[in-house]
Amino acid sequence: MRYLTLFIAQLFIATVSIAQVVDPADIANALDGDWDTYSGDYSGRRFSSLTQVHKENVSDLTLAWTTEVNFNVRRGNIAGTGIVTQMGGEGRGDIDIRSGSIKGSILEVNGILFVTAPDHVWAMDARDGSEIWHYHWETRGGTHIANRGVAIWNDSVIFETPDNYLVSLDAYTGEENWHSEIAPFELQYFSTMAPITIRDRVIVGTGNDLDQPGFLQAFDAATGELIWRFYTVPMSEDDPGIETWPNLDAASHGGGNAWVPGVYDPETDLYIFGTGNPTPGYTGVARRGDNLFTCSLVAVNVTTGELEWYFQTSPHDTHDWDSAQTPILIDGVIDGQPRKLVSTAARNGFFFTVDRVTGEHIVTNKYSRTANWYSHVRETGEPEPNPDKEALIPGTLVSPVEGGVANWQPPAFNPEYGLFYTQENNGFNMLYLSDPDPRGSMGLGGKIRAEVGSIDSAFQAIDYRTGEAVWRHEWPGGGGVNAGVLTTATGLVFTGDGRNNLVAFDGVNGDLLWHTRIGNISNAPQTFMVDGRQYLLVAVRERLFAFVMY
Amino acid sequence: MRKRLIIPSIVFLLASVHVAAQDARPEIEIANPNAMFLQQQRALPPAEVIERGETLYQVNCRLCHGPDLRGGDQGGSNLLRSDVVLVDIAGESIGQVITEGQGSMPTFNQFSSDDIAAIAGYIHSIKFDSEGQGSTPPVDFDLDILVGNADAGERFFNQECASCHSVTGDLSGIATRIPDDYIMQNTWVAGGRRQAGRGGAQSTVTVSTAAGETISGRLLRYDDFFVSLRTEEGAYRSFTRRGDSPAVELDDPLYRHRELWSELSDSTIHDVTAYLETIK
Repeated sequence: MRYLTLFIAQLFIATVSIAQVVDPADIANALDGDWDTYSGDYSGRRFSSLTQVHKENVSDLTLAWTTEVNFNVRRGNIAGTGIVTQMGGEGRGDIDIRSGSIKGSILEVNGILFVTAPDHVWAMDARDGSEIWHYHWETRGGTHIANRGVAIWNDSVIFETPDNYLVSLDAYTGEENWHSEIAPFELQYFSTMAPITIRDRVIVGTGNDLDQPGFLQAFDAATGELIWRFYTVPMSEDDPGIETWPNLDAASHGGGNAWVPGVYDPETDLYIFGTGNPTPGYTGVARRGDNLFTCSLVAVNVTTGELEWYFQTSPHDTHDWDSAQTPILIDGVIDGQPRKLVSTAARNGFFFTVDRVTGEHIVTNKYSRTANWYSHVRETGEPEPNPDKEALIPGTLVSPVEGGVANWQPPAFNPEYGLFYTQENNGFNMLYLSDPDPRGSMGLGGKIRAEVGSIDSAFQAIDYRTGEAVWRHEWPGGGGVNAGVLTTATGLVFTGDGRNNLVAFDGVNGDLLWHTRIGNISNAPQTFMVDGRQYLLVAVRERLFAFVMY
Repeated sequence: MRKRLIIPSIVFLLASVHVAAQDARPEIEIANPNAMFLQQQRALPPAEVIERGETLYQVNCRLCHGPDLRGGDQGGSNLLRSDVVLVDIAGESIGQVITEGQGSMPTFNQFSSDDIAAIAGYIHSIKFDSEGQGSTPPVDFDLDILVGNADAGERFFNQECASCHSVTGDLSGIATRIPDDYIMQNTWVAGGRRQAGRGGAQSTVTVSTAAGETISGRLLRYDDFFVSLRTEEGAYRSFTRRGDSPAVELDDPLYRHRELWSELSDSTIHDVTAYLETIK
């Protein structure tokens, strides 16, 4: 990658140089030494070309540093550190949110890390984890469930806040450039997504639990002005998909939020992402039909913001199984023909491969051993929901649990092995309808949910051509795992085991090669190169761990 | 102390929604800043105003918007997810729709500005009580989950459960001990109140070391690299696992329950629950 190298002398730390300017054109390059967008590159593969750490030496990894992010707001200069908390926000400063797990990607550019939690961004030195600057957003409120990370555009760092602002910071100092409202806080939207830089715009998504329509937006990365907004549900009688809703009121309150970053194919200029569940979540009685374009893979033209194609991975979902997880672009071979594909392992327990140029369906396969909510797979590839497995008054035993077989935690793909790596969480809930009102409930209400337990949860390496597992590692004890995945050109696969270990698999056969007991990781492992050393970086709630070989 | 906040102008005009265009929006009084959303952060008007608003609502609005504000037979919209309600601060948006009408809604001109503020205050007071994740305010239906056939449940129990359980033994008086029907059903399906979860709190384990030692006990923790247990004598033991060494043999008494989850039909679950409800 090409970087402009800039040096600024800071008043108190004259010796620290920061050089993190990213040319947006470079993000399209395959993931190598730096991690400059949510998935490392646009493909979603999380496949690093770095080779310093390999199967023979992975067990030599050792801790380089560990640190907790500092939520304290420092309003004045602390002598000797030069660190002042840069403040922004539309709130009044009377909301007390001073903590939060790291549940997203950490960007790394030229030895500088950009770390986020809701309302907070930190720049840190990748060599030792020390803080360079801290930005705190004084919030108006909203669901503070997570922040998935920043986008970098030239010398700006851009992120979303829980109360729905897009904020641009100076990458060197953390000072605010601008902020723009991206969704109305009044309508109970909340925003967690890591924006994705594409050319001179950032792609932005939001969340909502109050039956509001989902949308994806593009903003001007320089000014924060809105360029286009794409609604994921019909907002007028003429909109495509309206025939899959009983009426416009249901459609325009139908959810389908875009809250996890998607992937981008520069050749077709398509941004491909997954949409969330339809709303009301558990009571589908007032939204009979497939409910397009909720729970779908959707391809939108980045220049125009218009729909190019879609494939619905969960028609008429009634279990809060968002299909928002990050898909993966695969240049593969199907029936002897080279194909441009996109694959996704959905929260509902099904794996799909689709032609990413046309949306043509290629593969559907259940990758969960226990998912029981469907009756059959349609000829067109969509699993058909079984109405007897909705929340019903006397109770239904449903798999997977609300969190799904997989969730936002990103999967990974090794193109040399042709293997798609994902967790497989097999759990059961008892689900009861508690609000049988024929108007349906609202949001995620109207049901009672009781956890039953889990069985035979595992980690899988899936052949994208068939959806079948080539190898499968069952986690001891059966319980599920919420950890993302990283893979490398040396065939390694890093993830968490949900039992407090960060683990490395041999990506070919699932042999466990290394582990370290640091706690349950709360994001996905990442890797980058600084000063000739390959680092492995993970977060455990508020704490970062960086590993290297000496 | 209550503080005041001036809400930034709403830059959004969602396509299907009528939002009052306003140069100067009223101030909103915030009573609960740490509540998640504005509708629960806001201060409510005095109780007598809300009460008067309720009376006006139930007389004039209920027919179309429903007694619970969630929409009615006459096609009125669900006010609890209405953009007009959600952006309204003190009746300015709600009042505009009342006096000017919207869509199929006629105009209502008989209300004073105090009336409109009272109606808005009542609507906001209902929204104030909404639960998390977009839920409605609490609803209370009298629902009966006991729809199963107790005889069929007894037959299933005798075939599938009686090898481990007895209604005169471990399950004696189960319906008396667990009076709540939901908890009864959830408990027996899960395999007991203490769900095993990961690692299986109730599992036992036998570890056989390369040196020939065999240790058994209650499983504490278990992963690919480690196993720990407490012996019958109360001793804590733990072992590093390297592949197949030491040999670890788990006995998870709930494993059959876990397997059953993929086999049980919902009607069988309801039948067994109905049967267990007879075991007083």
